[in-house]
Amino acid sequence: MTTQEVANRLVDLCRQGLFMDAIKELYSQDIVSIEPDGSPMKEVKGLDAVLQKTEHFNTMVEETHGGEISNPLVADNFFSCTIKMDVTFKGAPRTIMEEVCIYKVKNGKIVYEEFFYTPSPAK
Amino acid sequence: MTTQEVANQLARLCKEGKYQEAYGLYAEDAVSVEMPGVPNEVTKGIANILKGFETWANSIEESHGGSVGDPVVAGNHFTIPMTSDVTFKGMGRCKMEELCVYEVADGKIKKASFFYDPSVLGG
Repeated sequence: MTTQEVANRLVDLCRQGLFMDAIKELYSQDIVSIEPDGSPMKEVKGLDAVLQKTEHFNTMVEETHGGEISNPLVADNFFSCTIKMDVTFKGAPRTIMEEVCIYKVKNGKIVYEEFFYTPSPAK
Repeated sequence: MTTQEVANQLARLCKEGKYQEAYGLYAEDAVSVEMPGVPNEVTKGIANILKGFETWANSIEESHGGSVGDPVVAGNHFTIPMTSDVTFKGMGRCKMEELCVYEVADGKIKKASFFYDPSVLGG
């Protein structure tokens, strides 16, 4: 698959809420996943670890109220999209999360992802 | 300025080729991050970033074209896709596509991260 095809497929699956399927189908075994400095899981390597991370995120969510994923922007073997999520995490007030996501594609699989947002500031 | 306003201004100035002015949107302590393994991967401070830009601009023999896309914003981050087609002095012609991700704090660009295939630079 080309980078554009991988990008379209990822966005399509994520819009259906099929995050785990998206990872299983499109991610390389050697995936590297990067969160911003100051987040609890700054760097995670390997498909199993990324699946675990996603499962862990899902268990923290009490309710998802809505979300929006932009169309992908493609440049060479990278693509970007934005994700906005309106969620209530267990034991926390409802919040809107917005982030820029960058993905690198190699041999038709996602090998690198990096998320850009500012981790929750001290209130 | 909001993140959207900073994003719109940066895109407009880059489209007009007003790069020096565009750097006026950067914070004094801005950080600019290139791909791993590229010389001067991390540049800190606007003075050093401007110096890096001048070195890059001076290395160009001829610019054949390029494009700056519209920004996509999420929270305090935004992405702009860019392409360039330039001949570097003594290095030959190089076409590249990249995704530029910017973090905004207090109305200024605090961090710029660039994603591209470094091999197109002839490295």
